[in-house]
Amino acid sequence: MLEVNRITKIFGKGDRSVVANKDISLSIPKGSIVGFLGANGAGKTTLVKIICNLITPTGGNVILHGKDVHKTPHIAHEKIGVMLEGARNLYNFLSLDENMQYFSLLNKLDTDNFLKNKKYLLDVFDLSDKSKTVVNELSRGMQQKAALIIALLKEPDLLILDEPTLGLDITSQITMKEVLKNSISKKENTLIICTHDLSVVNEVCEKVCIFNKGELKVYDSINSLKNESAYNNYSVVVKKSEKIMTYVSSQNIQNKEEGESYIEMNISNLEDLLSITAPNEIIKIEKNINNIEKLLTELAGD
Amino acid sequence: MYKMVKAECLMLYGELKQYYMNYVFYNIGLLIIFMGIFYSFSDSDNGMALGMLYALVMWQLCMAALSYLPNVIQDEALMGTLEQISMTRTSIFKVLISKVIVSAIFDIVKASVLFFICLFLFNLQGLILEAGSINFLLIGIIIATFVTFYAFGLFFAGVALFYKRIHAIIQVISYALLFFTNITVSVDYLPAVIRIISNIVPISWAVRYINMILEGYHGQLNEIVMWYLVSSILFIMVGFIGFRVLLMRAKKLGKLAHY
Ligand SMILES: Nc1ncnc2c1ncn2[C@@H]1O[C@H](COP(=O)(O)OP(=O)(O)OP(=O)(O)O)[C@@H](O)[C@H]1O
Ligand SMILES: [Mg+2]
Repeated sequence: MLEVNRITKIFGKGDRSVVANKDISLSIPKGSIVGFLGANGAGKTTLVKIICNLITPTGGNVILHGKDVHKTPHIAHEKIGVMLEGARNLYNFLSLDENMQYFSLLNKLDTDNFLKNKKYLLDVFDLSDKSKTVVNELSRGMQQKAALIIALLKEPDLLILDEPTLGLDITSQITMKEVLKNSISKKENTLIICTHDLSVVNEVCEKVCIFNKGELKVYDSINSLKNESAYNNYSVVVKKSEKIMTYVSSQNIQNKEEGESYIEMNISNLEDLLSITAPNEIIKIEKNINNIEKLLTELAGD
Repeated sequence: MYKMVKAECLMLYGELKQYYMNYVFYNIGLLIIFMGIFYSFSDSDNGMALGMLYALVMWQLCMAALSYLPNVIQDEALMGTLEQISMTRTSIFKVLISKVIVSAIFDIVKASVLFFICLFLFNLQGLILEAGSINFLLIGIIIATFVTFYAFGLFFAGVALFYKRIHAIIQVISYALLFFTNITVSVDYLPAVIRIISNIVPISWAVRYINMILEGYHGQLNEIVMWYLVSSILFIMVGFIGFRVLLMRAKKLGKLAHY
């Protein structure tokens, strides 16, 4: 569905040039939800704008539905909906309702469908009583939700959201994640989310791209990252025995806490431990799932 | 296209609700300028007075047209909506054309009101009746020049992507055009450099054209019409080509939004 081929983007010339994207290639199949992660300035927004043909790359191309986005921009306009960062996607002197109507006309939306979706989204984001309010007078988070509503109303094949949960209160963040999951599972469209919010990545995304200083470091599914042995972590409590103690000292296991008759520790290789312990010696085995956030943080950092 | 025009009417309505006082004062300002210029420059014999009023209205329309697209682009770049309208299912070009259609109609209505106020204020009712069907030809010339300046404005719209204070440049141009394009004084009395530049501008030729018609003198008419067309085509081309080139450059530099 979306192919990014060897995209490079260099801003400026000479000493002051910045390499925002460095030889990035990735392929996103239809129906997937991909999170873009990376420190500030890692190049996420630049890549998103290149995909939308809002920025011309220095090298490489973007193929959407088999067509080069740069050569046939029409395909991007037709198929992509984008909410860019900073809640600056709306006419601030128009009301929310007028904004929705304006963009619905520009996006050639079917009227009945538009009205139905509009009502649903306003309800779900708790903005029904604000639809006549001028965007200027909405709070920052409300503006963000309004921009998201407009992006969703287009019902694009590829929806791109740049930091959608920024500035949202906790309820709205939860609603946002629910709506995103539903909007994708119901229809057969694709979603890219740039975010610093690891809960979004963990709860909504299936795959993650991690950028560092313009380079794509990791592109993998969340599940396979979770299964990577180095980060597969179990906290176990077992009864002390000679076998166990030899094993522990041979493996140089950190984070252990010994009691009188038991030992508590974190291990990554469960099979080895099971092969030397009898079932009645096991007191507790627990998989540490929330490590994914730690993993992502580590990968996204330097 | 009908839906697009509808969308832009919605936009204009929203803007008017917010900024209608600006419009009122802007037009009062214009009325004052018109009165000042008319009483200072118009001949006492009144023969050319109607021509001057038409020329003033044309100048005002051309300035509105010239500044329109640069302002649109600048405002949208600041709001971040330029990137949004670039991403809709309607091409940015069509969006701009619909904006121009709606704005042009609105401007013509405003200009007509101004025109009729001045007509009675300067006591020119008699002259306009005398001119008869010629008036339609004059209005045609004015509207054609008006549209040319919308297209020419595209060039400055492109510049507005890079230079945020485009308003200042346009202000300078509008004063230059008022005084150096035959509206107030004939360019024949001006220094050679100004005369040459002035002769590239379609307004200069349009004013000559209008005056020539009102005087009922057809001697140089063909030549004037030709230069009027040539200069208009030149301005339109500069607008379209300039905008295209500058837009491409802006996409390279990532400047579709000012942050
Ligand atoms: N229009 C531009 N002109 C020059 N440099 C730019 C431009 N846009 C981005 N950059 C530079 O490119 C690099 C990547 O920026 P980008 O906005 O893509 O980062 P990001 O990953 O979206 O960061 P954040 O998490 O802060 O949103 C940065 O060093 C930035 O300064
Ligand atoms: Mg960003």
